[in-house]
Amino acid sequence: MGGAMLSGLLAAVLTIPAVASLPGVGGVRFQSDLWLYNDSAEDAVTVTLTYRCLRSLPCEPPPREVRLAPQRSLLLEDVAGALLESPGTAGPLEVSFLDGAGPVGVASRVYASAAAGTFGTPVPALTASAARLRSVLVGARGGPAYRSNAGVYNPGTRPAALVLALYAAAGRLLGALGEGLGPGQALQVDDVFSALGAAPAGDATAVLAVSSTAPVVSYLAVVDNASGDAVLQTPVEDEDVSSPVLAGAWSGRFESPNLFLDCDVPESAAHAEFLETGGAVAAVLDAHGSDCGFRDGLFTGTLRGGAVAGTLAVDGWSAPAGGPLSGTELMLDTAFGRFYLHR
Amino acid sequence: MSHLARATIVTLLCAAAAASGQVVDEFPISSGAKPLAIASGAGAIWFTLDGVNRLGRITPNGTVTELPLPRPGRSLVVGPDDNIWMTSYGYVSRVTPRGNVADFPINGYGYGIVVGPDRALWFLVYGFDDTTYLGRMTLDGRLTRLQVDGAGGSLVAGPDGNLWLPGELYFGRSQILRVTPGGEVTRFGDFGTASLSGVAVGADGRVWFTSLDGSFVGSVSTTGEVRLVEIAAPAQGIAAGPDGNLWLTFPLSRKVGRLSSGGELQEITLAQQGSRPSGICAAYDGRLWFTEAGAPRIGRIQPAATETFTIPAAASLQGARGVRFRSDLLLFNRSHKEADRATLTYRCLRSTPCEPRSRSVAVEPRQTLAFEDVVATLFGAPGTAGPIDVSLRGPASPIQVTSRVYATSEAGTFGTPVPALTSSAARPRWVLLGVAGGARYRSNAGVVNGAQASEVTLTLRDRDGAVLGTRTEGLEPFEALQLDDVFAAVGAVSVDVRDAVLAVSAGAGAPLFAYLAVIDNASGDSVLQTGAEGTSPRDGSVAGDWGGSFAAYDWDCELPAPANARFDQHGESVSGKLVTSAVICGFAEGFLSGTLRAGELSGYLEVTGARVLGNLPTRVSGRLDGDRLEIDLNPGCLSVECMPSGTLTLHRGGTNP
Repeated sequence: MGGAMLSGLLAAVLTIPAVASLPGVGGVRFQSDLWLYNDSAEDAVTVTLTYRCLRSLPCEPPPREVRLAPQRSLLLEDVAGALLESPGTAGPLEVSFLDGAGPVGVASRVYASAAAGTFGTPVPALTASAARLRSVLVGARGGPAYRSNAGVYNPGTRPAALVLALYAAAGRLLGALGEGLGPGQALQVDDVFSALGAAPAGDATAVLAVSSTAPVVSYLAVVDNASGDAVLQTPVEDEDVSSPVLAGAWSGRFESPNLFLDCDVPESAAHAEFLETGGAVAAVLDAHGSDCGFRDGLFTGTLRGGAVAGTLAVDGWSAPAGGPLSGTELMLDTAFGRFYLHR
Repeated sequence: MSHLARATIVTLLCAAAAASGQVVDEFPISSGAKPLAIASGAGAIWFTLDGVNRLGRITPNGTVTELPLPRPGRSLVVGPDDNIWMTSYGYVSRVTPRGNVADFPINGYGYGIVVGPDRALWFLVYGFDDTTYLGRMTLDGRLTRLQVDGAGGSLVAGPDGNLWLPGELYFGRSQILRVTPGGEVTRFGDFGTASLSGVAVGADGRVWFTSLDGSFVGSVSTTGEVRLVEIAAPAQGIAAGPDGNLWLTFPLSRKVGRLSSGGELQEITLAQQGSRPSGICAAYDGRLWFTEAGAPRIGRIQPAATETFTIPAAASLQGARGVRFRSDLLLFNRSHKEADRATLTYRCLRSTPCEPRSRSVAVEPRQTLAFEDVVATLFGAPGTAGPIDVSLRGPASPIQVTSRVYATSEAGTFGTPVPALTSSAARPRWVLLGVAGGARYRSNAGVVNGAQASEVTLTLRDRDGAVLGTRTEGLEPFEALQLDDVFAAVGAVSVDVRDAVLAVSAGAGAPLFAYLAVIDNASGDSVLQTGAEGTSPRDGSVAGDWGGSFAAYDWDCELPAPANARFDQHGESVSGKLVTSAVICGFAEGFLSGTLRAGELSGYLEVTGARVLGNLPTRVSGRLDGDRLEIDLNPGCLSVECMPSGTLTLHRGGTNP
């Protein structure tokens, strides 16, 4: 059980990665119900609810406290819209109580209400150990029958540069996306196949790998497009790929749908710093570009294969960058666009 | 005259074993006597010696002693009274752990012996009058006989409450025999002239057997379906390991082997020529022990760690209004380099019975194996529902398991993720939140039992804690049960609520899984939860290796004194069980299973053997604080002699402090 300071005392903190109070199309309404239970036979317990809205739906409701008598159960319907007074929002919810109290049981469900009834998914309350640098979420689906939404929450105090990479069932990279996430921030990437530039894998499932420079909580919601029913998957730790990539000469090309770069400029300078666990610079890439491509790239330091994250500066513009790195290829997503580098 | 030898440990990390982490230790028998049969219990591992009037004993750390007997023993088992029961020429003998022998005549040659489902001793006898009979002996030595023609030398108590025996040639063919406690004999299979030998019950609930001169290992379901697995060399001994595999001895090829339920055999070759491994048993210390008649030595195998995840609910069922329920299962290998294997075992609910069935699959690096409608397509059990166990090679296995159970209809799919719960998450009490009833919702509750038979009580309370109803169900080992509409199941009136609480408690402290499925009656969508986070055992919960010592007790330090303890907390069911062997004036190699929370606890402690001649349980109280468990002893007289007041202190770590 995760620990945090609550009124000067150690508190247990559980994170429900996704709650919502949102109107949908066709009269459908999304909401989250929360159940709390005090398993103590003798002592009441005070539970604090702290809501963190998604970056795209900002809000700052104050934490709310509820008191549970011994052996009592409490249902909080539409907890985000009602108790937390934040209708029209979605995001993670932290449930904390004094460690040693209770135990306190926590359960939640996010669901849509329609004329045909309700349909949704349980959302488990996760302990602090669910926040990881490398996570993997299994069962992503795209195409006409399903869509998959991914969510990430940074519960810590350090900013996180993160990479979401989508792999086919056989391990082939389908697409990747780099993002930055400040302390306490959360984001949801709707339709990860589209967002990551990946073609749906037909009926096959894909795997979403989330790597970050600070521990983050992630989830994957797979939605049946016909019924609207969702299944929310929680992450497990992904393997730490230990084989280092040697420093050496790299070159590549740059594709930028945003056209931040003027391709007519004869010379552009790019400088990328890649971070290892803990935030230290593990490798540096310096390159010169022209015609929207880069040449003479030089890698110094070492990076492990898999997903890498860091910052990229081009001609003085700087942004988070990240992407999957294999033995000879690095695909780097930034706000500028996408780099393809080859050793 | 007893022989005491501190054995030299010979550790072999064989080539075949090294790949999967099996470690074999061998302990010489300094007297030179050749060991035959082997059994575990009463704080040690016991073995018979060929043609020698002694009983062998080895502690889990490898100390060998031999106790005098009036005649050589043949087969043996540790009884429910913590005595060693042994067959021999003309007798069944009860031997206390201290070596006191009581003989009971059987008028024949005694062979295999087991503890039956009725807690009596069952054994095979070739009578002096040329009859073959199955003997049943109560713990006080009363004998009854069932004549069974064509029975072989060993037997096992099956999961169905019957005795199972490899048969000898009978009307020209070998068969497997099922004998009911009432004496009804049924024969299964036809194995030609093969000489069948060992027999054991596998983790899949099937009865497995070996053949001394046939290149196969066989298994038979409790309904009589026979399967054979071809192997290269004849096997003799067979035992079900704690890792879910079967373990075999190959006397002619000096090997021991691990046979997965999927039929994969991994062999370990012993170093010494002519070592002739024969008897094998799974001991209480979590290891396999085997005899080497040709060496002579006792061997010990530490099976590779395994980890089993349970998906508590899967289904392939036709529902009402054209709705069809099914489960999809995904296995993902997180490794970038190594393929790995998973063994999946499906067990049907009591209400949709079927034989357990296992499948073993390989998952390549970064591969996702998807099994749609897994119950029907992988296990071939349409029309059923139940849990799926996924056994991996250990915590280091990179395989990740996810599943979903859902209904399909014209409007799409509606369902719920079903988590894969690790075996360490099993616990004797569960609290399930959000039980809903009335017109809009219904709630179904499920219980998936572990290896112990248990009596499970479901208590439904309203949001204020008032009891709405209760129900108690007996569950056999590994049995799974689902109670549809828990309000009705516990005798409560279904009211329009969504905040009732269901507590599931195992009366014997048996760890199990419980789940709650809440279904929207309008949409058919369900939400499955397996216990609210936060109600799992908290810091201070303990399960694992413990050692300890007795204080204030006049103890005979050279003698074994096994102890068993059961604990309960908060007025609820037993939640921890301690099994120890006592040597050197203290308890060593204790193993605490189950879970306990930090704080006060109470329970029962039983000490057997040594100078405490009885084994009456006595009430104790104690406290758990971090890695220290203190039990106050003030029981009065246990039986003939009294245990004085004192404190039993146990420390986590497995050795005496």
